Amino acid sequence: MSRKGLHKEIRKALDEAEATEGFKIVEASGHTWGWLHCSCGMKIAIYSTGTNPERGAQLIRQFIRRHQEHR
Amino acid sequence: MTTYAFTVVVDRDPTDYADALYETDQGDSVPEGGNGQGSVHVTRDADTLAAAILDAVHSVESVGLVVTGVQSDDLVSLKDIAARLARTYESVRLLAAGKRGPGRFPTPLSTGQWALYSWTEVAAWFAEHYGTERPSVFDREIAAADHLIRARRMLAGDANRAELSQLVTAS
Repeated sequence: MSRKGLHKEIRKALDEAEATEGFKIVEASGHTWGWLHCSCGMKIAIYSTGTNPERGAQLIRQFIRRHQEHR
Repeated sequence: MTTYAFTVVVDRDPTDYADALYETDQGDSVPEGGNGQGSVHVTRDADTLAAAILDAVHSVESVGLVVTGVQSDDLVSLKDIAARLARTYESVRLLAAGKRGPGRFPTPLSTGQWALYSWTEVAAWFAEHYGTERPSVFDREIAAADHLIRARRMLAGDANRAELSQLVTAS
């Protein structure tokens, strides 16, 4: 999966998601680069551009942390 | 200007609106959804938290979603209060019942088998009487904004809506 164009902080957060059991990254099209899915059925948008990529990375990490709690 | 980060609860799964939200907010409104639940994580530069929330409500609703609340950890049980303050459940239960301590413990927001309290009210009470940390202005305003947005939805179309809104500033 190509992560070219993603901000380095978002790339790092996605690497952490991939290393965690129960999460899946699915690429999309349009403004939304892709989705981070939890096996519980919830997902969060990943934007490739935007004014605040650090916040995007923080949201990905928060999603992982919150959804690890129900395992 | 301050940068505020918070999460609004919406009336349906917002993930179908991801591109529209991006176009409206350039990535500052990130949808999360599934399982019949939905929320939008918002970042806003504004002079006050109230201004930031108002702006978020306008932009999130401009794509067709309806904001039904603001996510907060304010609603707590006695067990939650005990855990947050590192006290035993029994000591908190006795304080809440007025059988120990200075009395006038905040009244629960809901009663019945499981009473639920406002954390900002409870934390302020403990700060006053036991010197613990006061709730932040952000936590207090986020909790209040959640109630106000729920009231807005409840009162949609109500003839006395404008008059009822004065209750916020009634003294």
